[in-house]
Amino acid sequence: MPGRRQDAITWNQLRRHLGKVEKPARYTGGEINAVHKDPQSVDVLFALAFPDVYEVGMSHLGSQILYSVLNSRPDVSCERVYAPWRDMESLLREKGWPLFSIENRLPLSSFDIVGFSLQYELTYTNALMMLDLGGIPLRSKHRGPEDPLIIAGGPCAMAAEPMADFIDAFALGDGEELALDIVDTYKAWKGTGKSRLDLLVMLALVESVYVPSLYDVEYRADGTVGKVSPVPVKLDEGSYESIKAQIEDPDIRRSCFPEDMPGYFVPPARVRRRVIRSLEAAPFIHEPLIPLMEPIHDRVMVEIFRGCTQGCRFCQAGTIYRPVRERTPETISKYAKELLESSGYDEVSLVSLSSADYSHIETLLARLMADCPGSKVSLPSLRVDSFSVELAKMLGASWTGLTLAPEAGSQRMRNIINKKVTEEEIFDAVRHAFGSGFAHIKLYFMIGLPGETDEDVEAIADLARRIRQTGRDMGVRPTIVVSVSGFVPKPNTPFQWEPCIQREELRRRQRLLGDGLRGPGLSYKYHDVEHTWLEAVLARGDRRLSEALELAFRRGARFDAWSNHLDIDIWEQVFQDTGLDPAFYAHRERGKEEILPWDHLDSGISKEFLLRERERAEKGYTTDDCRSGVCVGCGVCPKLRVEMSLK
Amino acid sequence: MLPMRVRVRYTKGDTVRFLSHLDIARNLRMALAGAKWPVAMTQGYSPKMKVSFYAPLPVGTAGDEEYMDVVLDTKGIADFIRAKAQGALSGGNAGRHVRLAHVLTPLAQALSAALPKGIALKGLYIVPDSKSSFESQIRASLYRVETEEVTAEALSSAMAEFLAQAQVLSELRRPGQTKTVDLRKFVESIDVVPNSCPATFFMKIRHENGRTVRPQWVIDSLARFGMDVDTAEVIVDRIKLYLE
Repeated sequence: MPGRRQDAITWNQLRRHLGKVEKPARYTGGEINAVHKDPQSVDVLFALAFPDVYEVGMSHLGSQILYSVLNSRPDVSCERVYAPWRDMESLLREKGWPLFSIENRLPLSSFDIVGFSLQYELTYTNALMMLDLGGIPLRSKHRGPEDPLIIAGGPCAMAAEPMADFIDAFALGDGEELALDIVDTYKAWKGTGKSRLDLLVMLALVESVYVPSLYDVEYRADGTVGKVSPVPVKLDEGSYESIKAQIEDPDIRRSCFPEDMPGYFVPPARVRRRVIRSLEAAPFIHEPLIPLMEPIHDRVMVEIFRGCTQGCRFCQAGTIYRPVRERTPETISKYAKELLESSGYDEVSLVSLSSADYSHIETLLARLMADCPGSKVSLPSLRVDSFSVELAKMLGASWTGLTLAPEAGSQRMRNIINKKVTEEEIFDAVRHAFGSGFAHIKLYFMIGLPGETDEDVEAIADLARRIRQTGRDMGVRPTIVVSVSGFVPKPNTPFQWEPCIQREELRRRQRLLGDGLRGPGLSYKYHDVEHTWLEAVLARGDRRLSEALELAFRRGARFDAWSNHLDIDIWEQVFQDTGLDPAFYAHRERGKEEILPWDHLDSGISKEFLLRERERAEKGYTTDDCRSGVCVGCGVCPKLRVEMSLK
Repeated sequence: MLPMRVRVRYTKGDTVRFLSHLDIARNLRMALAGAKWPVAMTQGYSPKMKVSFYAPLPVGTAGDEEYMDVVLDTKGIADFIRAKAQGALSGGNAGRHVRLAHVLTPLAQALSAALPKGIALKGLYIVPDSKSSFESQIRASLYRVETEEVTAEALSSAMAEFLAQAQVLSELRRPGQTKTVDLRKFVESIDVVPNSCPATFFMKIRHENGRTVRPQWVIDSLARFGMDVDTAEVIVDRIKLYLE
């Protein structure tokens, strides 16, 4: 355990002050199935850190999986820590208390490993706040042997260069096996008396672990990345031999310990994403954490498949979780029944990126309804088609309303983004919905998409009005909610080269759309332009942005993802003061030949495929889902040596 | 058959004191579901369990004597007992003569096992299923209050002053309105534990027609008697309810 031990905060200390903060139960734990181990009885103390509030973190399935996987090891104790709300941060600072874990109230600095889950770019400042409040130096280079190892995973890890200076190692891809590999590596290093650099080298040798400090980034005069090169590390003789001896793969031995550079370790040029081969065989959480305080999603969750190959060109989840790996209906139903019975919940959510795509969805629902009578089943992420509506109807969800995501208003635009749904299918779906008793329909759209014209924006309003009219013609008095977000180009998607539109232009399109959505039965919600802008700056940033992140945090930026909590003036000023041009990151079209800041992180998707998809988008061509049996050549299966696994 | 109303006595323990009443209620409902209690459900589009709660506690206050009423579905009880009693009762007699203990014991065991730590089952009673509210039978609450900010001595003198008043008016800010309430009228007695450290006192507060006041409000009002205590730093436990 790191040397800088601080005592746990006692319950008596805490309870005398928690009355001062909002929702104090965020900090008191006590969840059903929470694991409390004696920190002295384990080899590795792991803090699972979620950079958002408790209620949000408790609804995150990935964190639950890792908590369960890590705690299943007798030599590991995994505790949780969430971002304290501003009032709690003030209380901690006022009392001089460090940020502490939920289970044993241990200071964050007393853990061996702190692992952040980076789900969203706008949580980065919260992660910095947590490190700082936890008494851990923000920057990797300032951490010493007594400080915890700071790692991070989640979708942002695939392109988290803005966080590169703060995170010792990123875990890329599926975490179930990777988290344990990291723990094993830490355990092998711990107690050897070797340096922190040795640990980083050992981690860099773990498949899918990216140690950013072992890579040097050069920039061109125009500000783009010129080169990302692995930095050779001189190891002392003992370390060199012992680390090298651990490597079984002869190719890795040759490339990472080149013969012409004796004594040196050379990090791999590219770090490849980890995938688990089978979801069916993956660990399942039999004892999920059940919070005493109401979380955002108050139900049990069963993942039905991972990955999605619909191929929507704006969607990052649609690329970085490939390939599709399904669980069998038998297994899903067994798990659902078990969770419902043990938890006292009456609702199970079947989690995936596109529920209606599950190969045996009808069989599954029929089975669930037979096996779990009286329980509700919810299917998030439905497609826009009448089949999906039929599924929603089967679940008897008509009173809750129906959410559909056509994403774009015109067929032209839907073809560009490869949202393969036709106008006819949309109207089939809504007619079916109105006919089945759904009167409230929520529609999700994006504006600011590549190639978008005013006609495409107006088409959203037009579509919503016609959907409403369809309902009226059928004798329903529908309410249509149109929810619109601004498009943010994301790494590892065909649109990763595209500029994000300017804030003024986004506002103009929002107004344009709003003009068309006035009238009874229609309501219009849209995301704050500033959130879109900041997300666009950070999503495709390079590591120079770490200056801006740190300064923004120092000046009070917190909970940037929360409406009303993003202080955009801080950010504007920070970009000015650091000389970093946000437009360079958000609004610039990248050249095809440009080295992107995440190119050395290999999601498995080939750049050729992404470029090809971008060209097809320009031509308005759609691309099929490889579930249909036709490989679209994205590169994931051969490169990551996995296969799509349909059940 | 008449529905069966079971009164559940439980504690809201020290570690769950920061849960809101709504969260406590939610946890109890989930525990009832997890324990497979045959709870009667309301009719309608989204059926709800027929449960009622009394004298809710605010966030931060623990309670030793809390009550919830649960209406059981009489038909379901037989199934519940049969499921739980398998093996416990000898085959031949099962279902013929069921004593009260045969009903309450398995209900209690199942609920105890399903409750989260911090919420503990203290007793089960069968009560008449009447509409007359249990709430109106609660005459007073006894609170134990602890503060590190002042000495027991200072506390005693401020309390004595408080008790010597004919009335102590306090303004309660509620969303949309401000109400004036006479705190003194609700306080039946205050006993400071001599030389206690942290300073501890017991306060008996009346309930009138379901209305009562919080000990924190009384403590707040002590400022006018020269004792300034931050109510957010005070530990309040409700240790007893006085019933008619």
